[in-house]
Amino acid sequence: MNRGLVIGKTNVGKTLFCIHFAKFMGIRELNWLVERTDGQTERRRMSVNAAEVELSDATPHRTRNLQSLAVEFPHKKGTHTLLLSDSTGLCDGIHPEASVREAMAQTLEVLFSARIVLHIVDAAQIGRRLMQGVGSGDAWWDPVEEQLADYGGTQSGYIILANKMDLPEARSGYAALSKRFTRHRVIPVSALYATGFREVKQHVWRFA
Amino acid sequence: MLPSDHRRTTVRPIVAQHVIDQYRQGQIALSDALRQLSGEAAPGPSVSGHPTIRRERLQEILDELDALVGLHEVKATVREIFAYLYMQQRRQSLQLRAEPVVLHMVFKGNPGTGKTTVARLLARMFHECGLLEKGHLVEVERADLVGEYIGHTAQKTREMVKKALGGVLFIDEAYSLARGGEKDFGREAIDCLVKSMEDFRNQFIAIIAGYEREMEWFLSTNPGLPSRFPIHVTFPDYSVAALLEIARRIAADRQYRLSPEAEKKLRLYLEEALSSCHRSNFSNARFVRNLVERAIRRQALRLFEAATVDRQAAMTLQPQDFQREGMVL
Repeated sequence: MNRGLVIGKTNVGKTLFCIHFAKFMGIRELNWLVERTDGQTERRRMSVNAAEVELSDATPHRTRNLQSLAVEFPHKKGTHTLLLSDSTGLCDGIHPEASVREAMAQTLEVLFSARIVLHIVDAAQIGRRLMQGVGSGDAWWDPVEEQLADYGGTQSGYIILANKMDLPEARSGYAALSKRFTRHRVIPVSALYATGFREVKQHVWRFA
Repeated sequence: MLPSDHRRTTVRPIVAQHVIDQYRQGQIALSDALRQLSGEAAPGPSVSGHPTIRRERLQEILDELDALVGLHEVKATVREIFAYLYMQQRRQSLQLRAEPVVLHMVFKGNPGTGKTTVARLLARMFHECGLLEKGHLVEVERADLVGEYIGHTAQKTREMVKKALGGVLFIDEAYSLARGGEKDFGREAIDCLVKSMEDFRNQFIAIIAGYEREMEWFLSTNPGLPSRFPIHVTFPDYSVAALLEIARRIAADRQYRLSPEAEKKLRLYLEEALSSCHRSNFSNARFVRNLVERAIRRQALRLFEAATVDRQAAMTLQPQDFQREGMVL
């Protein structure tokens, strides 16, 4: 089974994207495969609504394990299954908590074997930073995102998703993103309202 | 668990794993880790196939070994091995054939000559230059390998080997496996070990250690053994000067020092011990360690009565602290 990894900084909406994307793909009940950092796996079954409430949150590092959903795509006469993995949010520096570091290291490990990498960026936050510090060059841009994009440049299944497009500031953020990453494909989405998912589906389907 | 299709990345998995491990232990920041992961993935720095072992790193590792007192022959052998490993990589980058090396070793030497210390160091060194995946050391003795009933031994031995995969299996006092006689289960452990060493030839390194005479005998008990351990390292006894240096370092490690008179007395003791008839059960560095530890205890007793103790006195070991009677040999 191929793996599609959803990666990004903390609080950009990775988990919400996973839940709504799965719903968009026609999944009514989520069957999570949770890969814990200590190497054990467990299964969790919940409805879409329950998952929204339980798994996604405004506090950073809500997701501490790799949790994956099997998503099916029609392929020729049969179907292809993609393991859509939601990962722990990355943050720069050395995180003081060992368990968070462990979880982030797990994300990095999976990054290497994933066939599709969906890099979620908070476009609204970038837009806000642009408005605050105009003219200060690259100040709006985060080194972690930069490195991720650099890594993604060597991989074919990598795209950037500019999330939170439902917020007004996100428009300028998206513009800045696509200007900066001419080599990458940037798709505007809103994880909350499930907009832009059709393009994402097409991309994922191509590589699944 | 992992997707079946591995994409072609230019970063070697072992390098990537190393970077991720460094991050996990909190040694580097996330953006640095990512830079190393993506930076090396870029087609840029592929000058002469960039070997995973860097010479400077290797030198650093070897310096650590050089810090040990004496052991010139051991150091030379280890240097040889590492130079060979490095050369293998360079040959590989030139598309020459590089046969995997068999690095199972026999450590022979009297008690206290540093066999276990060197084995621990080696495990780390092999790991750091990427030869071993995990680089951990599994230290076992007869009791860990030999079972209680028929068939149990092979099971236990195989379990230990499995545990050691990707690292070093260090069997201390290995000769005891062959000591029990014809019906002893130790033989079964040897047979099983020999088999596993063939099966997982490049996945772990077995080091067997023991006293010189016993090890010679042990290797002769199974005709397959000597050829399966191509590297023999003999740990010679320490000279008096080396033993004194060791005593100085042991003391310095604990923030003590020897007064010149104490050193003189210690030298006399050591000379006597080296030339005495109990030569065979003289335990070299361990003997010195015990002597210094005893001296530290006696110094504490000596200063117990004193009302005030200055820094100098609290640090210095005097000749009267080194006592002959009841010497631990």
